[in-house]
Amino acid sequence: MGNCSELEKAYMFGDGELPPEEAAAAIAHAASCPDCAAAMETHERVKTYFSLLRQAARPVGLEASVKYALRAAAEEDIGILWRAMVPAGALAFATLGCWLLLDSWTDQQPLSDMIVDRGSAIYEVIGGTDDLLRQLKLEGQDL
Amino acid sequence: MGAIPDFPPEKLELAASGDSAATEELVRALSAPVYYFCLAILKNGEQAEDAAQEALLKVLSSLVSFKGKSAFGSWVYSVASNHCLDLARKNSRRRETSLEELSLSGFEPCDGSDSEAAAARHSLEAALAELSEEHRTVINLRELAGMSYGEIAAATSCSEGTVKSRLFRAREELRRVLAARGEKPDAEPVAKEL
Ligand SMILES: [Zn+2]
Repeated sequence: MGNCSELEKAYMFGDGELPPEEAAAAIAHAASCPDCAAAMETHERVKTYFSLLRQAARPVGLEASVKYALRAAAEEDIGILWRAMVPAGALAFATLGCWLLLDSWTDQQPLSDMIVDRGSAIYEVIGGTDDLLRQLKLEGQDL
Repeated sequence: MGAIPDFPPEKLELAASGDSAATEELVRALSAPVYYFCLAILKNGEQAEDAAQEALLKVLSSLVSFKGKSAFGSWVYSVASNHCLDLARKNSRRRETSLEELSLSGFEPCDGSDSEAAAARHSLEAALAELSEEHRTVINLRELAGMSYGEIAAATSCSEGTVKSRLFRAREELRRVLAARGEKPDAEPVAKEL
């Protein structure tokens, strides 16, 4: 469009990208160069327009929606952890139950008795009574 | 100085490790710049807001991969740029041509006034719409997104020198179009009345 070799500097002045001495030189040059003066004016007009557009189009709810999405993602992570832990816990209990049941049907000493025997040995050391041991044994067989 | 401030590495590490205060600070600082970047590329407010949210979540989830080799702002823009280019590609594949042209009237209700300022604004918008996609985008990135030459270079994967010359050609093209539309290149600026 223009022919002046300083035009690019005229735009860079408008962008605030010139060091102070070059900026002063660009202003002095534009005072005697209609081409660069016109370029600076058009540039100012474009900047004003985009500044209005920025205000009109500002993202009012973006920050809040990003924070909401982050919170939702964090809650989802906790949910996944719980959903993984509940079946794992149930499986562990079921396995232990089956093991104790099968164990009581074998010729060997039932595991439940072993648990109670260990408990009775410990209880004797600390001076427990037979009644409590019997109670423990009954509860153990119920497993 | 770009649109995105530099953050100390400790702050970024905190945010990467999930610290909520550091994360919120990043979200506060990045929301507007990333949104205006998406708006500059996609030229549609609603799509830009959705894209900015997704791009911000991508930036936050990939913070651990930021090694500080480039400026933080340049890295953020390159993540957002990849996301927007993917979206733009998908839109063109789906032949979505419903993108409303970016303009002030697209965001503000038309009050029917026919003032000199509105006429000048429409004239500028029409001239901007006549520019090539490349020229319109580089002007949007600089003026709407407020990006530095370096940030534009990082987002568009080209050198700063290329950005400067592209921006220069785009601005000169805009002046030519305005002149062709009947506005004298050295006419009194009407922007002050906007
Ligand atoms: Zn000149």
